[in-house]
Amino acid sequence: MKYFGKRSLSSVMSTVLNVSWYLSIVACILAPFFSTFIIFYSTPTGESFMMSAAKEYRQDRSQDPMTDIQIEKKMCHDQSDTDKKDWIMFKKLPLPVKLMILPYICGIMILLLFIIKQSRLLFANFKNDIVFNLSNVKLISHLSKLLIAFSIVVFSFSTLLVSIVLLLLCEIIKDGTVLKEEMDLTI
Amino acid sequence: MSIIFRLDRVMADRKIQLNELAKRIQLTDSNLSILKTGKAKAIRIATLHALCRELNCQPGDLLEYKADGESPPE
Repeated sequence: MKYFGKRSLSSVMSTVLNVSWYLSIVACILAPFFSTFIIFYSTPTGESFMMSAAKEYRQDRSQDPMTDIQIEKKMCHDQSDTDKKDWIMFKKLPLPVKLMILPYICGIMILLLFIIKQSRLLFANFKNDIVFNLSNVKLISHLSKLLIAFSIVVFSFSTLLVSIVLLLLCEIIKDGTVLKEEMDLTI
Repeated sequence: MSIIFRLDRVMADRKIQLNELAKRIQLTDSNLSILKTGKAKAIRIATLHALCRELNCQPGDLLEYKADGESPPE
């Protein structure tokens, strides 16, 4: 299997990351609106507003109007017990605490954007057969630092392990770059 | 401490151009230019052998040792 160059795993990854980049930008734009909607819906005011809106919508569509309990049961029909408990606990949180979720989500999205951007540049270099290069060393170093920050924010140990492995890889590629430069300048 | 490559001097004495010498020793113009300008970090024995053969000289004619602070002899 070919890993570097055109028509290789790196070119596939480069394409995937390019698509992910644009999808992430769209998600970043939509995430604050969606989060605001969820926070609004989880408040008593928002919930009753949504329930009455759903009830009116169903009254317009059918002859048999549903009660509030029936509407809520239908909406929670596919949720598991854990999800229901989480949702009930989330609804009970005070509004200022709920509003703190917005910057948390923004932080995660921004970190993800930076991670995808660095990965895009790295795999674009791999696609062009540029492996042992100082620019790649810098990209991998930045990527590992971003992943460390991401693992702290989302409390993920596996991401932390991956970031440590990337730090080691950065050192290996640094040594490889020196050796390649020496080899290139050996006539 | 440095090793200076005197390829340009020997090439001028033999009146041979860079591209012609590169063709004879089967090197690219860019690689030979790296040697000539002193940017090379190492030289293979095979390359040194080919240079001495084509320029009809000794390795000592091409390589010169200069300690820090010394000026090369004329």
